[in-house]
Amino acid sequence: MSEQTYEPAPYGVTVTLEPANETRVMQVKTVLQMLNQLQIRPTTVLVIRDGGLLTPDLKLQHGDKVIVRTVVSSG
Amino acid sequence: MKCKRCKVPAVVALPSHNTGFCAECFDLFFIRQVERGIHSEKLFTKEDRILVALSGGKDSLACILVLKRLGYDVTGLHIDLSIPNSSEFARGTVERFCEEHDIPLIVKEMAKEGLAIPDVKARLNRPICSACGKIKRYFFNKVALDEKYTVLATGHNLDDEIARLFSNVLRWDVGYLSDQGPMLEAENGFARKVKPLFRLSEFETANWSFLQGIPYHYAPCPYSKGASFTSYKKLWADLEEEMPGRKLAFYLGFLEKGKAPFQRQEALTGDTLAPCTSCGYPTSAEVCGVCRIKDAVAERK
Repeated sequence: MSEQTYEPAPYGVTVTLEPANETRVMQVKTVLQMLNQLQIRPTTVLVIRDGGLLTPDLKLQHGDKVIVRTVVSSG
Repeated sequence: MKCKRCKVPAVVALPSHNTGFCAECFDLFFIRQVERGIHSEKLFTKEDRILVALSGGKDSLACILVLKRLGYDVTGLHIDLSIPNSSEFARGTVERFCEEHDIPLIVKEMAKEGLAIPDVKARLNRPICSACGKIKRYFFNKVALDEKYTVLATGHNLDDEIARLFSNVLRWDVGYLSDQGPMLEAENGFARKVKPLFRLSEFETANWSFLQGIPYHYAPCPYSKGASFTSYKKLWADLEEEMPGRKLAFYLGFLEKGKAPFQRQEALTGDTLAPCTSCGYPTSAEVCGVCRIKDAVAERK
């Protein structure tokens, strides 16, 4: 029987930026803090977790997977 | 943050209105903004046959869906630009959407018209965006008139309108400033053009589209890099954050106080239009811009 190895997930919130599809892990406590670190204005993106929308005041937790999708169409 | 109306947790925060809404109340807010825009500017009535230009993006799909929900007679029109790795996805999105929502759809293929955008791009010595826009507007109008639609609607939102207004102001372009607005009456071979989402920001239409489950096409056009309107949108995003509500106030102020003087000046000094000698489309030159592009592409082949 082969021995299985487990890699612990990096600590923090996993953020996927769309449409670039870049992923990064961030140590943040709220949506607003995450957007500030990303230097993104709250009214230029949708923030999505578990298929639902998040407002900037909401808290984030370790293990959360969040999509940040730009709303500005560019042609 | 709690919903302003029903006090349950909000899912959309709207600094420009100093408020937030849950999904249900945001839907009501969105619908009311569209209805208010339609009625205040007398865009159309339930008797009109409305052709809605559909790119596959959130705004155009939101536009046709909200009009259908409000009981208007709508048909979609998609212009297939034949751009590799882009047009097929946009067209597929539109076709699936219209089938799912039981909306009639007309597709016009530019390759069949001798105007595939990659061919046009190869022939032009200037940015492709203006030529592509000209071609799309030409066929929006042509299909609307040929198929006897009384109104042509596009999904332009407040941010699109502000970016265009700002660009026109920077150049003091009297011609464009004289006819900018959510409604352009039918005249001289042009269908009536309307923009039912003019009171709603791009952020608001994106939130509504998401909450409606609209699977929109959001990859940017591969040819649009460096488009000036995108830069203007960024500038206005900065201003709006400092002064929430400034975009809508600037736009409505232009409609109320700024547009009329430009209309008067344009009536005195503007170009007179005559039918294109090749296709009959109204133009200020002998041959219209789209026929000239088509001839240039054909010469190269």
